[in-house]
Amino acid sequence: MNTVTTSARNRGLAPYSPWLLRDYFTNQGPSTAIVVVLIAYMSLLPLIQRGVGSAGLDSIPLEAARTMQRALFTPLLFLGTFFATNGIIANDRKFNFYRFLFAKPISPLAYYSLVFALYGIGFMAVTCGLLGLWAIVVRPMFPVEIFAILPIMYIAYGGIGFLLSAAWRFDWISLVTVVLIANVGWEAFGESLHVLHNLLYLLPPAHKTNAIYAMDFGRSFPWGAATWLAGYGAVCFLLGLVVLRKRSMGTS
Amino acid sequence: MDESRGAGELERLHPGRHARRDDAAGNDASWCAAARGRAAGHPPLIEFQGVGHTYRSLLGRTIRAVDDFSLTIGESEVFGLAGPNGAGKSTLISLLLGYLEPTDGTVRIAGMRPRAFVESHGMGYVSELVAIPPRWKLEETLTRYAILAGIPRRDRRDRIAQVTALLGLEEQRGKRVKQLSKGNLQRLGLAQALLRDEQVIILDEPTHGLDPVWTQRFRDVVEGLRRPGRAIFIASHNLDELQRLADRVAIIDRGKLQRIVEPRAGASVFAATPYLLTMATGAEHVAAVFPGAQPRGEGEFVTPSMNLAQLNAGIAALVQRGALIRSVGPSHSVLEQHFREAVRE
Repeated sequence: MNTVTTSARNRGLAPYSPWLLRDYFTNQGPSTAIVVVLIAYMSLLPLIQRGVGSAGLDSIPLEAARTMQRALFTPLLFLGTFFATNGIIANDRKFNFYRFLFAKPISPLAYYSLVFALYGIGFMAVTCGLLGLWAIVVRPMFPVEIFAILPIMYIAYGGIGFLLSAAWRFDWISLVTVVLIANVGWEAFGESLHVLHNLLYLLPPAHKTNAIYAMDFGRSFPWGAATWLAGYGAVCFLLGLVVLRKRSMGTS
Repeated sequence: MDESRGAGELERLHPGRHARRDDAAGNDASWCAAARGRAAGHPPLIEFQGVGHTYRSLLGRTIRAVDDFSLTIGESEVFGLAGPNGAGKSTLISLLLGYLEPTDGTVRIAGMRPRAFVESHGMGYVSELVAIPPRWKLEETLTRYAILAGIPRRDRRDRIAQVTALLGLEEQRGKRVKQLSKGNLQRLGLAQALLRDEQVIILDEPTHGLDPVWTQRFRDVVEGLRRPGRAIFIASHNLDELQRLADRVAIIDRGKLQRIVEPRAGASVFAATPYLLTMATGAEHVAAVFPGAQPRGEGEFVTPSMNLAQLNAGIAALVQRGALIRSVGPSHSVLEQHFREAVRE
């Protein structure tokens, strides 16, 4: 058998990173920013209409601004992660983009792991931009905890999205469904003593998200909930890599 | 258009790496089941052994797309794959790229599983339907694929310029993929496959959507890609294309290998084949000289199958009767004849 040319495996991935970041900042990033800005506007609208901000929105009391900012993190974390990981693998399968992509000497596992990581970084950068906008429009508030919470929630939701995207093409609808079922399940049966209660642990730990969203910035950090969420997401992400390896790219 | 441009540009792309082969002419036409195991004198590079693939739907429905397919392709060979729609060509290509795993048998490239080979070395690949994100610009597309192919930064610009010039895409460089015509998109697909000096090139219906000028140009480009050590695999409906380009052609039907043909081998003087006879005058004598000849157009007849001696005797008889013959030649190519026989219901 003939010897082949020197292996070029994954040599192109590192130099390709700026292109992936560019993809995020031209596609998912603006969607995240626009939706969160619209939600923020809707939140601030009653205050504006009541004339609280007649002298400028910076006249909003600090505690009220902090509460509003924290309330905005809930949709930001879910939607930002959702936009970043929606179709991350499934779209390439669906539109056949994988065909040219993986005829190059790159591994799908390495490629999609890099996409996942870079989109997370892009999401963090968009969050910084939104905090900057908040600082200009309302008042400067940069809670450092958000830079711990954001990666945790990105891994938690994104890991599930990654697994679903690796498994089949209807990833966005299944992610929403899974999160919804988990929320309802934990809400309804979280306190149950029945043995079937243990099945809830297979679902995303939606009951732990409250601790994250309700945390008081500057006070204690909910390490237990954070570990649960990040751990569950990380397991899902690893399972996604296993599915990606086992399920051929040509399988629709 | 400069006919020698393709080979010349490729020589610049991969200097000294390709050589035209004209050694196929003069061999006897041949096909047989034993040819499955041989790669026409080339050391083997790609091997299919007893390969089968079954698609299974979620509801349990199964479709056997490829069945007991065995074939060896040599490392310096241009190999063609022909078959009707649904014959299993696309499945075989997906198996070769590692996009599907065989449900039976093994596929090996240089002794490696296809996915392992592609991830280590890459492949030049053009698909029938070129799928590239529509917002990408042409030059951006080639830059992205060049990066992923591992082409060093210092060489990237030159490579892109060379393939762009080779495929006449200079004027389209700033256009988005969604703005390209079908033909230009197909040429872009070919351009990205030629960025790197790959050992294996797979072309799936490569002239799909190309106009006649670019179809011919494409053939020149593929001829220019020939080099020792490189295997080129072309799947096409276009038998004329395979006849001109391929050293051997596998004909498949309903997932099974039917036969392997060496299309450029000359026909034996003893082989019987039908001929197309075009008469200038004396068409009324054809039926008497060639009993069973079928009229096909004005002054045109397709003779029954006959060898060269019978054909020449008939021509002499026609001339003796005062007829003038405008042209005579095989009514269809060796490959077309094999194809008709192989996929006959």
